[in-house]
Amino acid sequence: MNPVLSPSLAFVILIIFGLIWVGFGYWLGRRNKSLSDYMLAGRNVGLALATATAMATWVTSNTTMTAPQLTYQLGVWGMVGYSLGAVGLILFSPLATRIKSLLPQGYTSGDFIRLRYGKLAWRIFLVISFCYAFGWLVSLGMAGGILVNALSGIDYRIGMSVILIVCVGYTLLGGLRAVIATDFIQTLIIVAGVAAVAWLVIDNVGIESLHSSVIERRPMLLNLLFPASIMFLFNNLLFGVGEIFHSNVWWSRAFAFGEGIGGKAYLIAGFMWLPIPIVAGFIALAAPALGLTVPAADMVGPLVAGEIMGATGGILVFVVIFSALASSLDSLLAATADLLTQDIYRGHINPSATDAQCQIAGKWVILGLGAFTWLLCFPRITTLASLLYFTGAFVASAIWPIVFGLYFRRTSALGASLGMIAGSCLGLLAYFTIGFYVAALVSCAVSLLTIVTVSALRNEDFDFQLLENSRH
Amino acid sequence: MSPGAIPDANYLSAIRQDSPEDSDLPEKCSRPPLHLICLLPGSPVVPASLLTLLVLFLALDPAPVLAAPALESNLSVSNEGYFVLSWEQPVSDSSLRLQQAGDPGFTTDVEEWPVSGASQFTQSGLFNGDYYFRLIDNDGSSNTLVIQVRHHSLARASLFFSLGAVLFSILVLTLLLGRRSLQRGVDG
Repeated sequence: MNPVLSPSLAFVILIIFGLIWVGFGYWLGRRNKSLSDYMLAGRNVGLALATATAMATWVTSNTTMTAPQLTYQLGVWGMVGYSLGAVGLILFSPLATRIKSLLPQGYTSGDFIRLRYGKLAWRIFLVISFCYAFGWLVSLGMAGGILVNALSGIDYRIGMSVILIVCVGYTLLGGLRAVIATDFIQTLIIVAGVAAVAWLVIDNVGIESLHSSVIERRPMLLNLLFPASIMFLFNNLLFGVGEIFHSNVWWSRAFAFGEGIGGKAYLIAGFMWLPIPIVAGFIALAAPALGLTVPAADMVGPLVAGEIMGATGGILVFVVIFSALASSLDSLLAATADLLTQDIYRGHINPSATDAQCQIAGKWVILGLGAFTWLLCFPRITTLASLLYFTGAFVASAIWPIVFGLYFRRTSALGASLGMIAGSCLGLLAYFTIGFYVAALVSCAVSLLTIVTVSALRNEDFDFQLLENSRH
Repeated sequence: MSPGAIPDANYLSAIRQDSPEDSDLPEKCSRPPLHLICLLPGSPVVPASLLTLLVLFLALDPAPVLAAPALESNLSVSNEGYFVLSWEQPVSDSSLRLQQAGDPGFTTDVEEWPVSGASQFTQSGLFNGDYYFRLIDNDGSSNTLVIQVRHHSLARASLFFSLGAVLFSILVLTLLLGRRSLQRGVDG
């Protein structure tokens, strides 16, 4: 299990890419004149950039590293189930159009929940959002450290720290404009790199050899009646839907995209994203044929690539996953900072804050978020998938409050609050008593039952004009 | 020697002399372990009957030589067919291997992986059954660990699958209805 890259080479790649991204972020950040420029890239992002940023943000370390992990653990259904995460992007397409028309001057998903359901639901929603955001941030930071460690042998904590510093650096300097622009370049690198890795795996191992080794040594991975993976299929789909529907990462983009752009961008990005986890996950099936010793399931992707392609492949994988990591980490930092600035600082601490004060506060928040994420990542407490799916219990409970709240005036505010609480609690119970692969499913079901029942009993009536007329 | 035969002290003495693991004991430690003192013919330390029992125990169930590090697992029953095996990483042991087998004697379906430099191993994709694991190196083997793989029942899996399908259908239907009501200019 010798690393495929020398530590010095890995450091050189990290420093070169780090300098490029930070320099680019600084250059783009010079055009930011207002809070709207900094937080929402001027609210006029075009279709090409919009599609690229939606796709690149959804191609995360969780796609390039967790897709192989889930394939290694749950087989072909794990791979297919992960790709169903694309459904979240596709279904968000009509929501993005609705969001932009309902809240043309909105900043965050919290704005909508506060105006639609009131303060109780807003605070519950913020707790869910922050649990998810920190879970995702930590999983991204951890993935950075794991990647660097698996490919070069550099200590996990050093790799994780360097990647966090780079992403915090260019997000801080450039705001959402830098995030979106770097996402565009990172998308091109990711798509080309993942395709090249998969092609090289097939070329080196061969489909027949790969298939016979899995059948002989890991037979359940190709079994279409693998119980845990059957349970996982819709869980992952609903988890992805919950992530996208509630998270400010996607709402802030809906606000930032130009008029009529959001719906098309999310639809195209969803279909373009769909094959990526299958291609990335597929390479994990080569592990048995290669007789690889896999210490942790989330290391299987880089290990296979490194084993097959040596140093060249190692560099390729390193660059691809670094790009995937950066494209998500920056988006999440920016969106979570927006949520903290707008909903916590302006919403709770300093309601009379000016836009200029919010812009300064936003920068401090990005720095603080980076430091907090670093602290949480430092002790490597769990695997990526376990950490990620823990948050599934929270986010899936927010699906119905968002969907019903956007379209139906009779949706009850109390029902939304209770739905989020009951869904999260029972989802967590399922996570601990059954497994990570059912948490989102249970949460979503309980939330639906609660919100429908309470709304039917209370018969509330909301006027959507209040949203359109409000100033955020 | 056939199973169940009672060895005599001379036989054990011969085993001691022939065994490569034990042959260098005097060089490794100045004072032999207690169980070896007891085995010496005519030892005054224990009565003959106890000596016979100990002899029997040693001959029928020889203790493994724990040269490799102790093997542990995050669970003893896996419902998903995957689990993590871990051990304390030795300072340097290039011969360290992990063995998997379908029986405690490690004779059927044996697989082996080199694990030098590693401290854990993730196994996955196994059918229902009992799987035995141990670490081996040039000096001997570790404890044997048994992991039971018992997948969830298909009935339970189908229940969750169906629940997911229903929820997804409701979601799509809700979005279609919501969009339709907007096109008609009516908010539900």
